[in-house]
Amino acid sequence: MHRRHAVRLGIGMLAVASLTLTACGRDAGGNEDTARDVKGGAAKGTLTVWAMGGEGENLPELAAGFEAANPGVKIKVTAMPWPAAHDKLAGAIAAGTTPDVSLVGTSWMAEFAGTGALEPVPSLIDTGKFFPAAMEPVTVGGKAYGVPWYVDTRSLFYRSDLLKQAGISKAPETWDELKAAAKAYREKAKTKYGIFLPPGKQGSSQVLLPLVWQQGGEVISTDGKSFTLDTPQMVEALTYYKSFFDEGLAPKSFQQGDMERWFTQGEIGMVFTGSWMVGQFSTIGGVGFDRKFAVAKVPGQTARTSFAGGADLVVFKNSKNRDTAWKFIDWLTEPNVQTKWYGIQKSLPSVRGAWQDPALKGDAKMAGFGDQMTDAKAEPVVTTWEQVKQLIEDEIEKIVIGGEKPKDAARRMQQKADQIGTGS
Amino acid sequence: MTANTPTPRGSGAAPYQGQRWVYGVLAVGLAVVVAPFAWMIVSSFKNAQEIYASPPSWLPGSPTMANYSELLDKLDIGRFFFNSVFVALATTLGNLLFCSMLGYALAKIEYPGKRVVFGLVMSKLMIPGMALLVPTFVVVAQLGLVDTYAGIILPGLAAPMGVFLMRQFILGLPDDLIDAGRVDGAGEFRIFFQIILPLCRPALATLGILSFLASWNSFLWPLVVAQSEDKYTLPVGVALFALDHQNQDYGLLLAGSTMLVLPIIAVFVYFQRHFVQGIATTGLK
Repeated sequence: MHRRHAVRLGIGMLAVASLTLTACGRDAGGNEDTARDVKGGAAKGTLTVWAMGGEGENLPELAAGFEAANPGVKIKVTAMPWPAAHDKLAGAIAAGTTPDVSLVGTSWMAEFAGTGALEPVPSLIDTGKFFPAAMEPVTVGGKAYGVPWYVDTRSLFYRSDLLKQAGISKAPETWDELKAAAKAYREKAKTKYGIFLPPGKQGSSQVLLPLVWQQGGEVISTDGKSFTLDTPQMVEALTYYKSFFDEGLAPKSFQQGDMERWFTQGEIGMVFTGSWMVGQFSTIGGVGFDRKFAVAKVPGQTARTSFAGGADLVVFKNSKNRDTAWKFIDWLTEPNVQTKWYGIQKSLPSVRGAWQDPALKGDAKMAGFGDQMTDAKAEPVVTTWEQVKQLIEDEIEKIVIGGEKPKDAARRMQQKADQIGTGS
Repeated sequence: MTANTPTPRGSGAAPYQGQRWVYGVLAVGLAVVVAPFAWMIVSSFKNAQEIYASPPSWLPGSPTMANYSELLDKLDIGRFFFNSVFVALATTLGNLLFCSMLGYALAKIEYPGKRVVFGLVMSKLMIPGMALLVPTFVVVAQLGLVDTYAGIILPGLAAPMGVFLMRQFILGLPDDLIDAGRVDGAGEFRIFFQIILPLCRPALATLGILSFLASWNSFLWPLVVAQSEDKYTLPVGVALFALDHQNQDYGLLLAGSTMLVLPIIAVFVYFQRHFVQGIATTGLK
């Protein structure tokens, strides 16, 4: 009796599973994309735009300028939360219910371009005006499928007041100086730790990868077909990363929110993070704290490369108003509109020309990020990257917490990444 | 240690001493469960500096309503609240009706293929919701229900867990009652509505609370189906402003979560009596 029951149950499950599969089975879309020109003439009609978080909240304010300049155009912005926005877009692509324009996270570009749902960027948009590091992730198979709207990059945040106390007059510029500064913070300025580095898991790959790039190393082959994780540069990067923890210069565990607290309370001296933390630290640190820290280009070996991220704008193929959609994107990436957007949302302009504006150039902390963007790299643009990133971060945790050898970790990274492949 | 000393049988103090020990354990458990929750509510009245304070502080040094006023200012809270209540009530009513109907059909009616139907329901329990997200959305989109309340409510209207719960409960009801109804000439619907449903009250209360909670807390599905902000439910709306790409505004998050959780507490307190009874009776079989 029990057996028969189990068999029936199995059949039922199979039936449901096959239904699921057929629903998912959708052809990946042709790769014969050619960028169609955008017709001249006035922008017209209604555009639906999806944007996440604060961007979605504040975009209508900016878009009013486009509506004013183009009578008859209506921009309808749907704001949505960043968490789960990826799933919402994936669902919309599968069901064909996409908007005209959407904001997408850079790390989703390869996946969405692969579905064939995105329009290639037309010649109307001058892609040369963007930071090259920002164009990398939107370029899939040699063709641009999106336009960088804003960028972010990691710079070195340091407690300038405590560094002076520790007897060092300028921000570290090399790996050796970084290590020396971390020691000086701890020994002379009496901080609990010298630097905050993620001890594995979320965010740790974004600190480790630049260490590889800074030695001239790469994590993926130039043709994008295989990962290159078991390299001398990777072993060197892991060894250097691990040494901060072994020497007690970086905390081996933390809770959400600890880093912000430690930095503002002087328990750590330095941290690699992005421009959004300038405002955050100033709020948490209270009045006058913004004079106690500074932002500098990341230290390096042969180069001082950092991590570049950001978000991009895409147009979907089944948009009924694609000409106006591209005109809107072109307008959003004009230098003066980009600086206006910086004023509203504090997002860093992806257009190099926008950085000449006094609002950015005159702010010592912010100008540093523009400088860093000229030496920054994006994560590899392959669909399997999220998985590979995960396994890299697992290995980082193993060497930091589990005390395993960097050489073995690099070898395991390569093995597992080879099994996953690059999806091409 | 007195709690552990054996007391003579029949002594009036025994149950009390035993209970004191149990109460101690329960109090610790309660503190572990309630402390973070209490901190959430208290801290929603703090400014950013105090929220990050180390060691964590309990009472706000300078209580502020800023988080709430910012949230209310940014969110169309009335709209989101209405959407959440409407969706949760519709989902709950649907589950109460359909899960008990299906449960009755699976427990008490004999027909060919019954086991296959039951197997299908059970197999749905074993497939993770994430795997069904995109296919379900494609179906909803093809029905033209994107950005409608119907699209948000329909897929959750007969949760497999609820069907299972009701089937198990109805299985325990005596067949004689149903037979008596049949003898008196009642049809299946009459038997279901007038004999079975009234007997299911404890199970229905449990199912009601579970469905309401599931719908109230649901985040991903309402977000995926709603294409305009006026269809957003409360959790989607709160996440919209409190969680940014890179950083979280904990003040907003705590205030939003507090607002999110208060209606649930109200519902639970109201149904609590039935709820506890439901669990007790289900265990009696």
